[in-house]
Amino acid sequence: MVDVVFQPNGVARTGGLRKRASLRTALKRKSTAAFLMTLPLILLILILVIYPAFYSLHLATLNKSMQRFVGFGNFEFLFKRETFWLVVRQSCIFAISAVFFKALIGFVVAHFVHNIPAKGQRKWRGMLLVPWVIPPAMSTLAWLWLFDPSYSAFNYTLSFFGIGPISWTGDPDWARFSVILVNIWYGAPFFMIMYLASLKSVPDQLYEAAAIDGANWWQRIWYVTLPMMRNIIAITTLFSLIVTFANFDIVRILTSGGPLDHTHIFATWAFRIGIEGSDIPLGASVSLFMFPILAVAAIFILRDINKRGNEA
Amino acid sequence: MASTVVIDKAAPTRTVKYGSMSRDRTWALRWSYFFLTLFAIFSLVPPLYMLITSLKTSAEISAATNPWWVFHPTFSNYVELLTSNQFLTFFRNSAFVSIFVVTITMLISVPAAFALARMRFWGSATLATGVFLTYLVPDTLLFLPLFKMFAVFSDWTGIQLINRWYVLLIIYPTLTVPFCTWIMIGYFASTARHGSRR
Repeated sequence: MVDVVFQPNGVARTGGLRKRASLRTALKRKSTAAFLMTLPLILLILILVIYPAFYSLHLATLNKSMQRFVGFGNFEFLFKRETFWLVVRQSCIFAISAVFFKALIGFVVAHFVHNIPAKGQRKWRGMLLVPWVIPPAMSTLAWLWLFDPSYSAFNYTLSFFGIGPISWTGDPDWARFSVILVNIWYGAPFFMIMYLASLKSVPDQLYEAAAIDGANWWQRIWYVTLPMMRNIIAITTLFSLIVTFANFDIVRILTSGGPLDHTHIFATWAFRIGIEGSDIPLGASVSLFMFPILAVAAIFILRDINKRGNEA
Repeated sequence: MASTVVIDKAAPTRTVKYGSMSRDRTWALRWSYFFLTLFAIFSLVPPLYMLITSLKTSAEISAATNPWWVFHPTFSNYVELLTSNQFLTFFRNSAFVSIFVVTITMLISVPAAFALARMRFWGSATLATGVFLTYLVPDTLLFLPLFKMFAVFSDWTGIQLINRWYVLLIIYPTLTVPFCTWIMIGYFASTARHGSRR
């Protein structure tokens, strides 16, 4: 690419005007090439991401047979349904508690891995990353067998402690717990690996200085580790909040909405209404409720990118 | 800010080692290994249980024995799978889809990432940010409009997309291309930095 830019420059050294003109055409040619290289990407984003996003806005304003414009009719219908508020509540409970525990477990485990001698860290990291590597659709099946009411491995183990058989996916509260547990299991390694990377980048002198000043372990974490990791914690939490809020496969496979719609979240309920119930407009209006959290996250991340740009 | 002031003060002092500190250190190490073992068990139980169950016969699964152990290990499940035509078809479909999707993703995202990282042009910075934001758009937001779009597409052209394996060649790149491009932009940008230092 560099040759393309500089060759015409060398040839056209005779006149200032011609030089500038050829430079301009070269620049134009370079940007044209760059544009052509990004064209497939732009087309893909336009056709398969941006157009569907707006199309779902349009779909949400149609009636069930998709022939009549009903404006906000779908939303009015949703707001009157009890199941919708159940889904809203469950989505918030699911996303917030799962992300909180994922972040907490990731943070704690990252510290433990960081604590042990560097020689053995690879092995432990490998074992702890297993949940994140297995496709969630398959590992959720394994969890489904573990939770199974009659042949359940968990209930068998618990029976030794005198705890009665728990219907893990049958009781609304336990079903909520199970879904969140599987999500934590799947997502915690991501936090662990991100936090471990940022822990490694905290300079050791800070800890030595803190130790000499007589800081205990709590003060070391609060005044040294957390401030150094603030950025990475914010970004991973936001990112995980988006992914967890829009989760589909774990809930779908484990409970598929669960006892009496108690574990439905936006994505699974939109699927149930839109594809299985063949009311695409109503499903589209349900899935649009995932949009606000996306917008908030996008604003935060964009602000962060701009801030970093100014510092550099 | 306070911490940097502390470093300057602390730098000249010699490192002192107390006996109690090293004893604390061994205990911290023991606790670390203890909790790491707990977390490793937590993360390895489902895949191990999957493996254990795959070695059981149906009779043993439904028997009221200890589910955590295989008493009569058998490979009959694997033999049955690998000799059934249906499973081999599924396996071939998975292989085809993943090979094609990786090829398509690479063909689109590598040139685009190269152009975005190395060749500045009008709107390139905005496009790079846009790629990252697209990566953040959850796939579950898109599946309903995409479903409807494919239905309309087959009405217009007569090409059936829904319920065919090749529709995945359109769906998966939607999710993988922005991710790959974002990662590759970082890679190309870092190699460019090394190049300019030379």
